[in-house]
Amino acid sequence: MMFMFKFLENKKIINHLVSRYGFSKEYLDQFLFLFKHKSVFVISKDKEEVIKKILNKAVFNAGIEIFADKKHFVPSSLGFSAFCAKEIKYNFVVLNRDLVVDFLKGKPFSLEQVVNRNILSKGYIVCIYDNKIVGTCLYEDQLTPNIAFTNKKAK
Amino acid sequence: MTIELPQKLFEKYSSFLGKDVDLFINHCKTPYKAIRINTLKIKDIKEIECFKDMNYEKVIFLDNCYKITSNVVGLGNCAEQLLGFFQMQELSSMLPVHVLDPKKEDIILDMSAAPGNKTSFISEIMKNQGLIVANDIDANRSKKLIYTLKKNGVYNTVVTCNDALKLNFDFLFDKVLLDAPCSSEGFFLKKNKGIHTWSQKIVLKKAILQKKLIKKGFDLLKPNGVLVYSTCTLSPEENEEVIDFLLKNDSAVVEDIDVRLNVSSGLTSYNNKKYDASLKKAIRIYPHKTNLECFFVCKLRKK
Ligand SMILES: C[S@@+](CC[C@H](N)C(=O)[O-])C[C@H]1O[C@@H](n2cnc3c(N)ncnc32)[C@H](O)[C@@H]1O
Repeated sequence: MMFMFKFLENKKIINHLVSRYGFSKEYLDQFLFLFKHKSVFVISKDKEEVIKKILNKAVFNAGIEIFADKKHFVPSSLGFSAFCAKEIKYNFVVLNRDLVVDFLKGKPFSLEQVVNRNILSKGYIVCIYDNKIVGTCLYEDQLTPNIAFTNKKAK
Repeated sequence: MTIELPQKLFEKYSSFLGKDVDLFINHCKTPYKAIRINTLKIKDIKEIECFKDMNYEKVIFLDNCYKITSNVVGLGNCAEQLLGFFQMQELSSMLPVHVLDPKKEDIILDMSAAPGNKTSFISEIMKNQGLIVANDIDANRSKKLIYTLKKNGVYNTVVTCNDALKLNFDFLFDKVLLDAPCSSEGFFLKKNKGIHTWSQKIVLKKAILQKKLIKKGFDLLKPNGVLVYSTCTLSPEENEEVIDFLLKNDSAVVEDIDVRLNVSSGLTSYNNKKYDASLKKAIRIYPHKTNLECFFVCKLRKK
Protein backbone atom coordinates (compact mmCIF):
# COMPACT_ATOMS: atom_id res chain seq x y z
CA MET A 1 0.00 0.00 0.00
CA MET A 2 1.48 3.33 -1.05
CA PHE A 3 0.39 6.87 -0.25
CA MET A 4 0.87 10.14 -2.03
CA PHE A 5 2.45 12.93 -0.04
CA LYS A 6 1.57 16.44 -1.13
CA PHE A 7 2.79 19.94 -0.54
CA LEU A 8 -0.16 22.07 0.53
CA GLU A 9 -0.80 25.49 1.97
CA ASN A 10 0.99 25.42 5.35
CA LYS A 11 0.06 28.85 6.72
CA LYS A 12 -2.63 27.41 9.01
CA ILE A 13 -0.26 24.82 10.45
CA ILE A 14 2.51 27.33 11.03
CA ASN A 15 0.09 29.79 12.63
CA HIS A 16 -1.14 27.05 14.94
CA LEU A 17 2.39 26.04 15.99
CA VAL A 18 3.28 29.69 16.61
CA SER A 19 0.11 30.70 18.44
CA ARG A 20 -0.50 27.55 20.51
CA TYR A 21 3.09 26.65 21.49
CA GLY A 22 5.18 29.73 20.73
CA PHE A 23 7.44 28.32 17.97
CA SER A 24 9.42 30.98 16.15
CA LYS A 25 8.79 31.29 12.43
CA GLU A 26 12.57 31.21 11.81
CA TYR A 27 12.82 27.78 13.45
CA LEU A 28 9.92 26.42 11.42
CA ASP A 29 11.49 27.78 8.27
CA GLN A 30 13.96 24.84 8.17
CA PHE A 31 11.10 22.45 7.37
CA LEU A 32 8.95 21.62 4.39
CA PHE A 33 5.40 20.75 5.39
CA LEU A 34 3.81 17.75 3.71
CA PHE A 35 0.35 16.29 3.95
CA LYS A 36 -1.01 12.80 3.57
CA HIS A 37 -4.68 12.06 4.30
CA LYS A 38 -5.30 13.71 7.66
CA SER A 39 -1.65 13.83 8.74
CA VAL A 40 0.97 16.56 8.55
CA PHE A 41 4.68 15.78 8.20
CA VAL A 42 7.83 17.87 8.34
CA ILE A 43 10.96 17.12 6.37
CA SER A 44 14.28 18.91 6.26
CA LYS A 45 14.15 21.59 3.55
CA ASP A 46 17.74 21.28 2.31
CA LYS A 47 17.06 19.18 -0.77
CA GLU A 48 13.69 20.61 -1.73
CA GLU A 49 14.08 20.01 -5.47
CA VAL A 50 15.08 16.38 -5.03
CA ILE A 51 12.30 15.79 -2.50
CA LYS A 52 9.78 17.15 -5.01
CA LYS A 53 11.07 14.69 -7.61
CA ILE A 54 10.74 11.76 -5.21
CA LEU A 55 7.27 12.75 -4.08
CA ASN A 56 6.06 12.50 -7.66
CA LYS A 57 6.30 8.78 -7.05
CA ALA A 58 4.58 6.77 -4.36
CA VAL A 59 6.57 6.79 -1.14
CA PHE A 60 5.91 5.03 2.14
CA ASN A 61 6.86 7.88 4.44
CA ALA A 62 8.40 11.32 4.22
CA GLY A 63 10.04 13.07 7.15
CA ILE A 64 8.27 12.84 10.49
CA GLU A 65 4.56 13.01 11.28
CA ILE A 66 3.80 15.95 13.59
CA PHE A 67 -0.01 16.03 13.41
CA ALA A 68 -2.14 12.91 13.15
CA ASP A 69 -5.22 15.01 12.41
CA LYS A 70 -4.69 18.36 10.77
CA LYS A 71 -8.29 19.50 11.10
CA HIS A 72 -8.31 19.26 14.88
CA PHE A 73 -4.55 19.80 15.30
CA VAL A 74 -4.04 16.48 17.09
CA PRO A 75 -0.27 16.25 17.54
CA SER A 76 1.75 13.09 17.06
CA SER A 77 3.69 12.68 20.32
CA LEU A 78 6.78 10.99 18.93
CA GLY A 79 6.90 13.42 16.02
CA PHE A 80 6.72 16.43 18.33
CA SER A 81 9.62 15.05 20.32
CA ALA A 82 11.86 15.79 17.33
CA PHE A 83 11.33 19.50 17.93
CA CYS A 84 13.63 21.56 20.10
CA ALA A 85 12.18 22.12 23.59
CA LYS A 86 13.50 25.70 23.67
CA GLU A 87 10.94 26.55 20.99
CA ILE A 88 8.01 25.80 23.29
CA LYS A 89 7.05 29.00 25.09
CA TYR A 90 3.58 28.06 26.33
CA ASN A 91 1.10 25.24 26.72
CA PHE A 92 3.67 22.91 28.20
CA VAL A 93 4.25 20.96 31.39
CA VAL A 94 7.62 19.87 32.78
CA LEU A 95 7.73 16.30 34.11
CA ASN A 96 10.12 14.53 36.44
CA ARG A 97 11.45 11.10 35.47
CA ASP A 98 8.80 9.18 37.45
CA LEU A 99 6.07 11.05 35.61
CA VAL A 100 7.81 10.34 32.29
CA VAL A 101 7.66 6.62 33.09
CA ASP A 102 3.94 6.94 33.90
CA PHE A 103 3.49 8.95 30.71
CA LEU A 104 5.03 6.12 28.67
CA LYS A 105 2.69 3.66 30.38
CA GLY A 106 -0.21 5.85 29.29
CA LYS A 107 -1.26 6.77 32.86
CA PRO A 108 -3.13 10.07 33.25
CA PHE A 109 -1.72 12.57 35.75
CA SER A 110 -2.75 15.82 37.37
CA LEU A 111 -1.42 19.36 37.21
CA GLU A 112 -0.34 19.13 40.85
CA GLN A 113 2.17 16.41 39.93
CA VAL A 114 4.13 18.36 37.34
CA VAL A 115 7.39 20.17 38.11
CA ASN A 116 6.56 23.27 36.16
CA ARG A 117 3.95 24.48 33.70
CA ASN A 118 2.78 27.28 31.50
CA ILE A 119 -0.73 26.58 30.27
CA LEU A 120 -2.86 29.12 28.46
CA SER A 121 -5.84 26.90 27.71
CA LYS A 122 -7.13 23.34 27.67
CA GLY A 123 -6.31 21.09 24.72
CA TYR A 124 -3.02 19.52 23.62
CA ILE A 125 -0.01 20.32 25.81
CA VAL A 126 3.68 19.57 25.22
CA CYS A 127 5.46 17.43 27.86
CA ILE A 128 9.07 18.33 28.58
CA TYR A 129 11.62 16.40 30.61
CA ASP A 130 15.22 17.49 31.16
CA ASN A 131 14.94 20.17 28.42
CA LYS A 132 13.73 17.66 25.85
CA ILE A 133 10.26 17.18 24.43
CA VAL A 134 9.02 13.72 25.35
CA GLY A 135 5.58 13.98 23.77
CA THR A 136 2.20 15.58 24.14
CA CYS A 137 -0.85 15.04 26.32
CA LEU A 138 -4.45 16.17 26.27
CA TYR A 139 -5.37 18.55 29.07
CA GLU A 140 -9.03 18.44 30.08
CA ASP A 141 -9.85 17.64 33.73
CA GLN A 142 -6.55 15.82 33.98
CA LEU A 143 -3.60 15.29 31.63
CA THR A 144 -3.90 12.21 29.44
CA PRO A 145 -0.82 11.01 27.52
CA ASN A 146 -1.39 11.25 23.79
CA ILE A 147 0.62 8.21 22.73
CA ALA A 148 -0.26 5.52 20.23
CA PHE A 149 2.00 2.81 21.72
CA THR A 150 2.11 2.65 25.49
CA ASN A 151 4.67 0.42 27.22
CA LYS A 152 3.49 -1.09 30.51
CA LYS A 153 7.03 -2.25 31.28
CA ALA A 154 8.56 1.22 31.00
CA LYS A 155 10.98 1.88 33.85
CA MET B 1 29.29 -21.68 25.51
CA THR B 2 29.99 -24.08 22.67
CA ILE B 3 28.46 -23.57 19.28
CA GLU B 4 28.01 -26.61 17.06
CA LEU B 5 28.65 -25.48 13.50
CA PRO B 6 27.28 -27.46 10.57
CA GLN B 7 30.25 -29.48 9.26
CA LYS B 8 30.36 -27.65 5.93
CA LEU B 9 30.41 -24.28 7.63
CA PHE B 10 33.14 -25.42 10.00
CA GLU B 11 35.21 -26.53 7.02
CA LYS B 12 34.55 -23.25 5.23
CA TYR B 13 35.64 -21.17 8.25
CA SER B 14 38.67 -23.38 8.80
CA SER B 15 39.77 -22.74 5.24
CA PHE B 16 40.35 -19.05 5.93
CA LEU B 17 40.70 -18.94 9.72
CA GLY B 18 43.07 -21.88 9.94
CA LYS B 19 43.91 -22.93 13.48
CA ASP B 20 42.04 -19.89 14.89
CA VAL B 21 38.69 -21.42 14.08
CA ASP B 22 38.03 -22.72 17.63
CA LEU B 23 39.07 -19.40 19.14
CA PHE B 24 36.71 -17.69 16.69
CA ILE B 25 33.77 -19.93 17.66
CA ASN B 26 34.37 -19.33 21.36
CA HIS B 27 34.23 -15.55 20.90
CA CYS B 28 31.07 -15.32 18.82
CA LYS B 29 28.85 -14.26 21.69
CA THR B 30 29.94 -10.78 22.80
CA PRO B 31 29.95 -10.50 26.61
CA TYR B 32 28.47 -6.98 26.78
CA LYS B 33 25.60 -4.87 25.51
CA ALA B 34 26.33 -1.81 23.43
CA ILE B 35 24.48 1.43 22.90
CA ARG B 36 24.71 4.51 20.76
CA ILE B 37 23.52 7.79 22.19
CA ASN B 38 21.30 9.71 19.81
CA THR B 39 22.87 13.12 19.39
CA LEU B 40 19.77 14.37 17.60
CA LYS B 41 18.19 14.30 21.07
CA ILE B 42 20.97 14.42 23.66
CA LYS B 43 24.60 15.45 23.80
CA ASP B 44 26.13 13.26 26.50
CA ILE B 45 25.55 9.82 28.01
CA LYS B 46 25.62 11.56 31.43
CA GLU B 47 22.21 13.03 30.57
CA ILE B 48 20.72 9.53 30.69
CA GLU B 49 19.42 8.75 34.15
CA CYS B 50 19.27 4.97 33.70
CA PHE B 51 23.05 4.78 33.12
CA LYS B 52 23.87 6.70 36.30
CA ASP B 53 24.55 3.55 38.32
CA MET B 54 25.96 1.45 35.49
CA ASN B 55 29.47 0.82 34.32
CA TYR B 56 30.19 1.66 30.73
CA GLU B 57 33.16 2.40 28.54
CA LYS B 58 33.43 4.62 25.49
CA VAL B 59 34.13 2.88 22.20
CA ILE B 60 37.19 4.42 20.56
CA PHE B 61 36.49 3.44 16.96
CA LEU B 62 32.93 4.81 16.72
CA ASP B 63 31.49 8.16 17.80
CA ASN B 64 28.90 8.20 20.59
CA CYS B 65 28.94 4.44 21.19
CA TYR B 66 29.46 2.75 24.55
CA LYS B 67 29.88 -0.78 25.87
CA ILE B 68 27.70 -1.38 28.92
CA THR B 69 29.82 -3.56 31.13
CA SER B 70 27.34 -3.87 34.03
CA ASN B 71 25.10 -6.90 33.92
CA VAL B 72 21.78 -5.31 32.96
CA VAL B 73 18.43 -6.68 31.95
CA GLY B 74 15.53 -4.84 30.40
CA LEU B 75 17.54 -1.94 28.97
CA GLY B 76 15.02 -1.89 26.12
CA ASN B 77 12.29 -0.78 28.55
CA CYS B 78 14.24 2.17 29.96
CA ALA B 79 12.30 5.39 29.48
CA GLU B 80 15.26 6.97 27.71
CA GLN B 81 15.42 4.12 25.19
CA LEU B 82 11.68 4.39 24.52
CA LEU B 83 12.15 8.13 23.99
CA GLY B 84 14.97 7.62 21.49
CA PHE B 85 17.73 9.12 23.66
CA PHE B 86 19.79 6.02 22.96
CA GLN B 87 19.66 3.00 20.73
CA MET B 88 20.76 -0.54 21.59
CA GLN B 89 23.20 -1.53 18.95
CA GLU B 90 25.66 -4.11 17.75
CA LEU B 91 28.90 -2.23 17.36
CA SER B 92 30.19 -3.95 14.25
CA SER B 93 26.93 -3.20 12.46
CA MET B 94 27.63 0.53 12.91
CA LEU B 95 30.97 0.34 11.10
CA PRO B 96 29.47 0.56 7.59
CA VAL B 97 28.04 3.98 8.52
CA HIS B 98 31.41 5.16 9.80
CA VAL B 99 32.95 3.96 6.52
CA LEU B 100 30.22 5.69 4.46
CA ASP B 101 31.27 8.95 6.15
CA PRO B 102 28.00 10.86 5.58
CA LYS B 103 28.16 14.63 5.16
CA LYS B 104 25.44 17.20 5.84
CA GLU B 105 25.07 18.07 2.17
CA ASP B 106 24.84 14.48 0.88
CA ILE B 107 21.96 12.70 -0.83
CA ILE B 108 22.24 9.12 0.38
CA LEU B 109 20.48 5.92 -0.59
CA ASP B 110 20.13 3.18 2.04
CA MET B 111 19.02 0.33 -0.23
CA SER B 112 17.86 -2.22 2.35
CA ALA B 113 17.29 -0.14 5.43
CA ALA B 114 14.84 -1.84 7.81
CA PRO B 115 14.66 -1.78 10.81
CA GLY B 116 16.59 1.45 10.42
CA ASN B 117 19.48 1.39 12.87
CA LYS B 118 21.98 2.43 10.26
CA THR B 119 19.64 5.00 8.69
CA SER B 120 19.22 6.68 12.10
CA PHE B 121 22.97 6.76 12.63
CA ILE B 122 23.49 8.27 9.17
CA SER B 123 20.90 10.95 9.86
CA GLU B 124 22.51 11.72 13.18
CA ILE B 125 25.90 12.30 11.58
CA MET B 126 24.19 14.48 8.94
CA LYS B 127 22.52 16.43 11.78
CA ASN B 128 19.14 15.84 10.12
CA GLN B 129 20.28 17.75 7.04
CA GLY B 130 20.77 16.66 3.43
CA LEU B 131 18.54 13.80 2.38
CA ILE B 132 18.38 10.04 2.88
CA VAL B 133 16.21 7.72 0.83
CA ALA B 134 15.71 4.63 2.98
CA ASN B 135 14.26 1.65 1.15
CA ASP B 136 13.24 -1.87 2.09
CA ILE B 137 11.32 -4.52 0.19
CA ASP B 138 9.36 -5.73 3.21
CA ALA B 139 6.30 -3.65 4.18
CA ASN B 140 6.21 -4.82 7.81
CA ARG B 141 9.89 -4.19 8.28
CA SER B 142 9.44 -0.80 6.59
CA LYS B 143 6.84 0.08 9.25
CA LYS B 144 9.47 -0.75 11.89
CA LEU B 145 11.89 1.44 9.98
CA ILE B 146 9.43 4.36 10.10
CA TYR B 147 8.92 3.80 13.84
CA THR B 148 12.70 3.76 14.48
CA LEU B 149 13.14 7.00 12.54
CA LYS B 150 10.24 8.67 14.34
CA LYS B 151 11.45 7.56 17.76
CA ASN B 152 14.92 8.86 17.00
CA GLY B 153 13.67 12.22 15.74
CA VAL B 154 14.91 11.70 12.16
CA TYR B 155 13.33 14.09 9.65
CA ASN B 156 15.70 14.15 6.69
CA THR B 157 14.51 10.83 5.29
CA VAL B 158 12.06 9.56 2.71
CA VAL B 159 11.09 5.90 3.10
CA THR B 160 10.26 3.80 0.05
CA CYS B 161 9.10 0.21 0.09
CA ASN B 162 10.31 -1.44 -3.11
CA ASP B 163 12.43 -4.22 -4.42
CA ALA B 164 15.71 -2.28 -4.58
CA LEU B 165 16.30 -3.83 -8.01
CA LYS B 166 13.34 -1.83 -9.29
CA LEU B 167 14.35 1.52 -7.79
CA ASN B 168 14.29 4.27 -10.32
CA PHE B 169 15.07 7.96 -9.72
CA ASP B 170 15.69 10.86 -12.03
CA PHE B 171 18.78 11.89 -10.07
CA LEU B 172 21.88 10.10 -8.77
CA PHE B 173 23.13 9.67 -5.21
CA ASP B 174 26.34 10.94 -3.59
CA LYS B 175 26.55 7.80 -1.47
CA VAL B 176 24.86 4.41 -1.36
CA LEU B 177 24.77 1.98 1.54
CA LEU B 178 24.03 -1.62 0.65
CA ASP B 179 23.71 -3.45 3.96
CA ALA B 180 22.76 -6.51 2.01
CA PRO B 181 20.27 -9.23 2.87
CA CYS B 182 22.55 -12.16 3.66
CA SER B 183 22.68 -15.63 5.17
CA SER B 184 23.12 -13.90 8.58
CA GLU B 185 25.81 -16.23 9.87
CA GLY B 186 27.04 -13.59 12.31
CA PHE B 187 23.58 -13.08 13.74
CA PHE B 188 23.02 -16.82 14.24
CA LEU B 189 26.44 -17.26 15.80
CA LYS B 190 25.96 -14.39 18.21
CA LYS B 191 22.56 -15.67 19.33
CA ASN B 192 23.77 -19.29 19.24
CA LYS B 193 20.42 -19.98 17.65
CA GLY B 194 19.42 -21.10 14.17
CA ILE B 195 22.91 -21.82 12.82
CA HIS B 196 21.75 -25.42 12.08
CA THR B 197 19.48 -23.90 9.39
CA TRP B 198 22.59 -22.66 7.54
CA SER B 199 23.15 -24.19 4.12
CA GLN B 200 25.50 -23.51 1.24
CA LYS B 201 22.43 -23.41 -0.99
CA ILE B 202 21.12 -20.35 0.90
CA VAL B 203 24.56 -18.71 0.66
CA LEU B 204 24.63 -19.15 -3.10
CA LYS B 205 21.05 -17.92 -3.48
CA LYS B 206 21.83 -14.79 -1.46
CA ALA B 207 24.99 -14.22 -3.50
CA ILE B 208 22.95 -14.08 -6.73
CA LEU B 209 20.69 -11.40 -5.23
CA GLN B 210 23.64 -9.49 -3.74
CA LYS B 211 25.36 -9.28 -7.12
CA LYS B 212 22.21 -7.83 -8.68
CA LEU B 213 21.78 -5.39 -5.79
CA ILE B 214 25.34 -4.10 -5.85
CA LYS B 215 25.14 -3.56 -9.62
CA LYS B 216 21.88 -1.65 -9.16
CA GLY B 217 23.31 0.43 -6.29
CA PHE B 218 26.31 1.32 -8.41
CA ASP B 219 24.08 2.41 -11.30
CA LEU B 220 22.30 4.82 -8.92
CA LEU B 221 25.57 6.39 -7.80
CA LYS B 222 27.04 9.68 -9.09
CA PRO B 223 30.48 9.53 -10.71
CA ASN B 224 33.06 9.73 -7.90
CA GLY B 225 30.32 8.64 -5.47
CA VAL B 226 30.91 6.06 -2.72
CA LEU B 227 29.10 2.77 -2.21
CA VAL B 228 29.58 0.84 1.02
CA TYR B 229 28.73 -2.85 0.90
CA SER B 230 28.28 -4.79 4.14
CA THR B 231 26.95 -8.08 5.46
CA CYS B 232 26.86 -9.83 8.83
CA THR B 233 28.13 -12.98 7.22
CA LEU B 234 31.61 -14.33 6.56
CA SER B 235 31.02 -16.54 3.52
CA PRO B 236 33.33 -15.24 0.77
CA GLU B 237 30.64 -16.03 -1.82
CA GLU B 238 28.47 -13.26 -0.25
CA ASN B 239 31.33 -10.83 0.23
CA GLU B 240 34.55 -10.78 -1.78
CA GLU B 241 32.94 -12.64 -4.67
CA VAL B 242 30.15 -10.03 -4.91
CA ILE B 243 32.68 -7.18 -4.97
CA ASP B 244 34.86 -9.06 -7.47
CA PHE B 245 31.82 -9.40 -9.72
CA LEU B 246 31.27 -5.62 -9.59
CA LEU B 247 34.93 -4.85 -10.25
CA LYS B 248 34.84 -7.02 -13.36
CA ASN B 249 31.72 -5.35 -14.72
CA ASP B 250 31.92 -1.71 -13.62
CA SER B 251 34.41 1.10 -13.22
CA ALA B 252 34.65 0.63 -9.48
CA VAL B 253 37.69 0.87 -7.24
CA VAL B 254 38.06 -0.50 -3.73
CA GLU B 255 39.22 2.10 -1.23
CA ASP B 256 41.10 1.78 2.05
CA ILE B 257 39.11 1.72 5.26
CA ASP B 258 40.46 3.63 8.20
CA VAL B 259 39.27 2.17 11.49
CA ARG B 260 40.99 1.87 14.87
CA LEU B 261 40.35 -1.86 15.24
CA ASN B 262 42.24 -5.10 14.78
CA VAL B 263 40.36 -5.95 11.57
CA SER B 264 41.42 -8.60 9.07
CA SER B 265 41.88 -7.99 5.34
CA GLY B 266 39.42 -9.13 2.72
CA LEU B 267 40.33 -12.39 1.01
CA THR B 268 42.00 -12.38 -2.41
CA SER B 269 41.49 -16.07 -2.98
CA TYR B 270 39.16 -18.74 -1.73
CA ASN B 271 38.28 -22.26 -2.77
CA ASN B 272 40.57 -22.20 -5.84
CA LYS B 273 39.14 -18.86 -6.95
CA LYS B 274 41.23 -15.70 -7.26
CA TYR B 275 39.67 -12.34 -6.47
CA ASP B 276 40.91 -8.87 -7.44
CA ALA B 277 44.00 -7.98 -5.40
CA SER B 278 42.39 -4.73 -4.20
CA LEU B 279 39.98 -6.84 -2.13
CA LYS B 280 42.54 -6.90 0.62
CA LYS B 281 41.36 -3.34 1.34
CA ALA B 282 37.95 -4.68 2.41
CA ILE B 283 37.65 -5.58 6.09
CA ARG B 284 36.54 -8.72 7.89
CA ILE B 285 35.54 -8.40 11.51
CA TYR B 286 36.36 -11.54 13.47
CA PRO B 287 35.07 -11.78 17.05
CA HIS B 288 38.26 -13.34 18.44
CA LYS B 289 40.32 -10.40 17.17
CA THR B 290 37.97 -7.53 17.90
CA ASN B 291 35.48 -8.65 20.55
CA LEU B 292 32.79 -7.63 18.07
CA GLU B 293 30.20 -9.50 16.04
CA CYS B 294 31.16 -10.96 12.61
CA PHE B 295 30.96 -8.42 9.79
CA PHE B 296 32.28 -7.69 6.31
CA VAL B 297 32.62 -4.14 4.97
CA CYS B 298 33.93 -2.87 1.64
CA LYS B 299 34.16 0.73 0.39
CA LEU B 300 33.92 1.33 -3.35
CA ARG B 301 34.24 4.46 -5.43
CA LYS B 302 32.79 5.03 -8.88
CA LYS B 303 35.49 6.09 -11.30
C1 LIG C 1 20.60 -6.86 6.95
S1 LIG C 1 18.95 -6.32 6.86
C2 LIG C 1 19.15 -4.57 6.89
C3 LIG C 1 19.42 -4.00 8.25
C4 LIG C 1 19.40 -2.48 8.24
N1 LIG C 1 20.35 -1.95 7.29
C5 LIG C 1 19.68 -1.90 9.62
O1 LIG C 1 20.84 -1.57 9.89
O2 LIG C 1 18.75 -1.74 10.44
C6 LIG C 1 18.58 -6.64 5.18
C7 LIG C 1 17.26 -6.07 4.70
O3 LIG C 1 17.19 -6.29 3.29
C8 LIG C 1 15.81 -6.32 2.94
N2 LIG C 1 15.74 -6.84 1.56
C9 LIG C 1 15.83 -8.11 1.12
N3 LIG C 1 15.73 -8.16 -0.22
C10 LIG C 1 15.60 -6.89 -0.66
C11 LIG C 1 15.43 -6.27 -1.94
N4 LIG C 1 15.42 -7.00 -3.06
N5 LIG C 1 15.28 -4.93 -2.00
C12 LIG C 1 15.30 -4.19 -0.87
N6 LIG C 1 15.45 -4.70 0.36
C13 LIG C 1 15.60 -6.04 0.47
C14 LIG C 1 15.22 -7.17 4.04
O4 LIG C 1 13.82 -6.96 4.15
C15 LIG C 1 15.99 -6.71 5.28
O5 LIG C 1 15.26 -5.73 5.97
